[in-house]
Amino acid sequence: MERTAATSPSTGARSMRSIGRFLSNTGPLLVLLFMLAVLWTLSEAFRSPTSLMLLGLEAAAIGIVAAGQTYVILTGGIDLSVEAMVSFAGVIAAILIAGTNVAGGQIANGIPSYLAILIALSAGALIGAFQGVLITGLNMNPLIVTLGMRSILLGVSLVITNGAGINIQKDEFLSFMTQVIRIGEDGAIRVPMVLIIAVIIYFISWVVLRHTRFGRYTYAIGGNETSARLSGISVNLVKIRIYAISGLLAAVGGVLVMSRLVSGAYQNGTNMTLMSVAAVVIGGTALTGGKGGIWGTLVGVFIIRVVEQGMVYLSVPSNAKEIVLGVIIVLAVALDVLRRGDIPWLRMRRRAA
Amino acid sequence: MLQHRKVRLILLLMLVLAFTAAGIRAQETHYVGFVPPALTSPFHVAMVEGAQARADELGWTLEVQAPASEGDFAAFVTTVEQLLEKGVEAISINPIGTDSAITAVTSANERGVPILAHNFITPFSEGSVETYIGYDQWGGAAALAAYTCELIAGKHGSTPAETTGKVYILEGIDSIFSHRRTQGFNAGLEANCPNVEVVGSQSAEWLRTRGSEVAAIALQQNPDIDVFYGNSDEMAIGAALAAEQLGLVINQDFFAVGIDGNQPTLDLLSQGQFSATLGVDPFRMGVAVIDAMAAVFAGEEVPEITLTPSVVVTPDNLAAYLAGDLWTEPVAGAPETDNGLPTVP
Amino acid sequence: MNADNPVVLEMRGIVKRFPGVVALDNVGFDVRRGEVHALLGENGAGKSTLMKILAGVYEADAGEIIFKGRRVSYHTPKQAQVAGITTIHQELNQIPLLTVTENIYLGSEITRGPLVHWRAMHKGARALLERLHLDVDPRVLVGSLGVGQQQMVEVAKALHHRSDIIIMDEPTAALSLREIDDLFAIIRDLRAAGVAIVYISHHLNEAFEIADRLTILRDGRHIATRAAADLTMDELIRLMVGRRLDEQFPKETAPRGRELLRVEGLTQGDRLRNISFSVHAGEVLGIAGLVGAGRTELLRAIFGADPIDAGAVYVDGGRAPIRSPRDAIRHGIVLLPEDRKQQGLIMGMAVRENVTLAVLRTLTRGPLIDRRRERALVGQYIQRIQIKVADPENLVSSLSGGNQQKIVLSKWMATAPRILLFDEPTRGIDVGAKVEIYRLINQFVANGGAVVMVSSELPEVIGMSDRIMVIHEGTVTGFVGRAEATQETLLEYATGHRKDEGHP
Repeated sequence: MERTAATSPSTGARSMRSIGRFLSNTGPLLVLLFMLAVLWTLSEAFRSPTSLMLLGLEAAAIGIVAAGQTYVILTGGIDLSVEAMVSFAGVIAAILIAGTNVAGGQIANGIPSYLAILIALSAGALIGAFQGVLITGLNMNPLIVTLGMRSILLGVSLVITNGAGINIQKDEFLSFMTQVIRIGEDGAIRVPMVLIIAVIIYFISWVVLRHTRFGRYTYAIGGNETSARLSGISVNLVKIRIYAISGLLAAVGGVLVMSRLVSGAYQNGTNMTLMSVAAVVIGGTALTGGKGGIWGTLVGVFIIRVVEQGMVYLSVPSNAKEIVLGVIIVLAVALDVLRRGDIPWLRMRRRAA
Repeated sequence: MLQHRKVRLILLLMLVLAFTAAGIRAQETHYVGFVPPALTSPFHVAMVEGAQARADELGWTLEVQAPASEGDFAAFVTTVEQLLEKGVEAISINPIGTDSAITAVTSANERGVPILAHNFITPFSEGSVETYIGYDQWGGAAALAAYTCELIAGKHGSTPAETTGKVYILEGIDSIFSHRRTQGFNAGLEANCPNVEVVGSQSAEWLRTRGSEVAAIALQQNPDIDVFYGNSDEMAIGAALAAEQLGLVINQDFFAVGIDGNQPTLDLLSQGQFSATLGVDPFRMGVAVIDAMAAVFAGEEVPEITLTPSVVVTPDNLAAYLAGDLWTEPVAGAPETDNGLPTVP
Repeated sequence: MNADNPVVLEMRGIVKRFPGVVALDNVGFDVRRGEVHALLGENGAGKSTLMKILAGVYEADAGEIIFKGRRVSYHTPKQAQVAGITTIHQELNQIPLLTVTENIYLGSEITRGPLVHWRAMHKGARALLERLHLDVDPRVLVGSLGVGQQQMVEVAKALHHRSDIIIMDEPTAALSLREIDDLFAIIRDLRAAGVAIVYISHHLNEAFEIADRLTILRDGRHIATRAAADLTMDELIRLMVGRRLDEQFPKETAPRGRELLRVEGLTQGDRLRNISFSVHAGEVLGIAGLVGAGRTELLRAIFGADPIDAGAVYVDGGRAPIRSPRDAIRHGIVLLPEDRKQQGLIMGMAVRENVTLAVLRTLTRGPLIDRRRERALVGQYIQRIQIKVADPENLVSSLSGGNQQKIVLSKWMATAPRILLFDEPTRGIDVGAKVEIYRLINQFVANGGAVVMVSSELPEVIGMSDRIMVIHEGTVTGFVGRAEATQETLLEYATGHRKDEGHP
């Protein structure tokens, strides 16, 4: 009868939750700063402006992919197709720019790069929207739909490239996109263009998620889809758009990776799904949806990048990297549980005490 | 009516005869299998093309099947067993885990189907393989190292024996392949330019993107690296891109060399965006596999190890390489094991 | 009858606070061996909370529990059950896809070595069922049984655990009259065997029939414990309500205007059959019926939350094709669901975000939400609906049930609706807030709106409706005017014993 009270937390859970809130608000940022400080102390090579530039350079593409993933996870879904989309979009753009899908064919006789990129991005958005249609219209599980799409996109990339990377040559537009801007006297501060693109995307995403109707609906759906639907929100339409955004941003990431590597290959997106989900979770967004935000994801991306690059700076044996990354991902999920204050045995202990 | 029946019967008999004859003809042409670890790299695609071309010439039926991804050892073994079940008369496989394919080999042995291994010259601990066909990774890497020494000497206006310099190695994922290619290269440096220093050796997981990341950081630690060597071309290409992004000019400030000689690499080489690669001509290696099968069918003696050539491809000899002028016929060779010693003593 | 039996359980000075409410304030309660002790009180009086503390679902903030002479505290229902206290819930806690035996022995399977000893378990289950005069094969799936039989399986499970106390929370809510008789027979058997029963019910007649003693709670406080024989129904109601009926339901009649909503022949599978009715401006139409009669389904169908098979909805005399909640909202129809947390609110969002969720469209400037206008709107509703919240940025999950209901109401009021579909408007809301909700309903109809109200509380239906429609198994059995409505009449219609012509 006292239903209102049924889910109210006990005092133990409440104090756990306040710790959780602190962790999700400032925790990741503190972790990032701490890790940077450690790296700064331990590695002389890291103490150069170029190192920071490299960090930004490497964070840009995965950062954009993770931004898309943030939208999806905020609605309580997940997009496992992003890494395949990175590869696929890169392959499509590269083929259009090179004008051939044969490695070693005539290079740079395709269409202008901005046009190729536009086509690749449209393909990304459309395929994403299609996934959204399957998930909402047919009520299919996003895990299955996006996993299937991942296979399809990787397979198509593989088939149309025959397993080889399609080399391209940068035209003016691509050179512009991949340049490093030098600021200050003797260009001491160097800012990669791709990082600027990423930051713009993050800023737009922040505005969209926090200041538009669409963003509010995104959080509402993640918070409680039933209530959202019963409040008159067109849940399906919002979700289709969410997956389209994820597809689009993964394609943007794919185009950036492709132009950085001057090659569209099916391996271009390797690991990006795992990394993007990890970044979102580390950044404080709940896997169950409804809670979190885009800036947290950016912090999460940088944490992952610092770990990956830090291991190279510190010459950690290559084989140990997998372990470190695995530990970080598991910790991130543990953090997610802790944030929700939802550990039964811990709650029980506190009650008993 | 009766007449018609007779005609029909005769026609039928003729048909049966025709099919039987065709069947006998097919027997003569051979149905053989070819199993790459996956068709996810141009290297394997090229080898398949070579094998296919030779099989077509001979009028054979070649069936190519591969797992969807490299490293799926279980799928690899299953694929081989499926082909055996379909009745191939000979099969050639390219395993990538040293002993992972033993089950497949023993299956073939039990059925009495000749089994060959290609792009692989490390004998299995069990089972009998007609011949292992491939190139000497250690020797090839050492040859590439010798050329690298010349490049460094040229840059510093010195001789290989005397020059100093810095080399950074991008390794593949830990395996016999990465070990042989790294160790062989180190040995080659030691032998030809002992004063050159290897300032770092890190895994870039066979990926261009990781190669780029690792190299960029390596340049923070050692801005004056002379050469990036990749266990695969892709990683070295990534390194070259990173160095260029940091304002360095390839073939002037630094060099990038690697192993494989795939088409994308050759393109870059011709455009002056790469320094040298170890060309092993996978197309012709594929041809050699079918030739070895033909030898087995003909009852000829085949060596345990059929060694195919590898050559250092530079912008100067690229045309000759592409034309096949640098190809030499396979010879009997020594097996390669992960023992830290040269393949050919 | 059992006045001399020893006390088996005593709860002393129990205090339980939830955010914004004191659910139990220094409550005492005791149970004797072999007695049926009815625990009575209005919604929100604290009955279930008290029993949940006993059963280890909640932890008391203060007070002690003495069970069989020892001070105890259980942290999980499982612990309590093992100790001898079993709760049989309104919502049955069984796994429908397991057999009767498996459900009875869940968590205490008999094993022989590593294997489950099926024969022994079936035999044991059969013996328990026989004790309850239940003719059911223990090997059938629980999901294939009727609700009454499922409840008996729970009782069997309690017997299996040799429970000293069985707590029955609204056990008759979903039972037919015959099943209720069966249940009472079993309760008497159990009592004779020395088991104590705590009986929670809204049905005061039942309580009088079965209970030896009655304890009455009101607003989280212990009001009285009396022997059933010493109490009259009038006295009981006075103790429970603590005020007169007209204070409890401050109904104001508004002038009846033109027809706002008409439903014709609405049909949805077996759940709703050919339902027709209309509501006028200024009118509250109450819908009464037993659990499972289709009351909630009806509201959801009108609102477009579930598809219908046949029928039409007319708003203002015009046909209103409603295929989704959005369509309904566009036609001025809104639904306040029974389960606010799951269907009305987004618990993880702030009060502000919940209040404006349905009207964001009107609060945007270009693509962006105009925060200033949003805050102004929220402030306006906090004042108008009198939501007690310190800061509109607080999460709704931190509010009491009454305030949460007011937020759902605010969300809809902001859309300027004309028809409220109100499902269990005061469930889980404390007494003070109930009256406020009723006044808001009065205000809404006074301004020319219409309300369709579903409630399990017959006094509430009678007290707040102008007209009452009763449904039974998905069909309308009759309409009763406010003046003629009594609990007895409504129950006759609700159980299908009475049916007016013209409502097939």
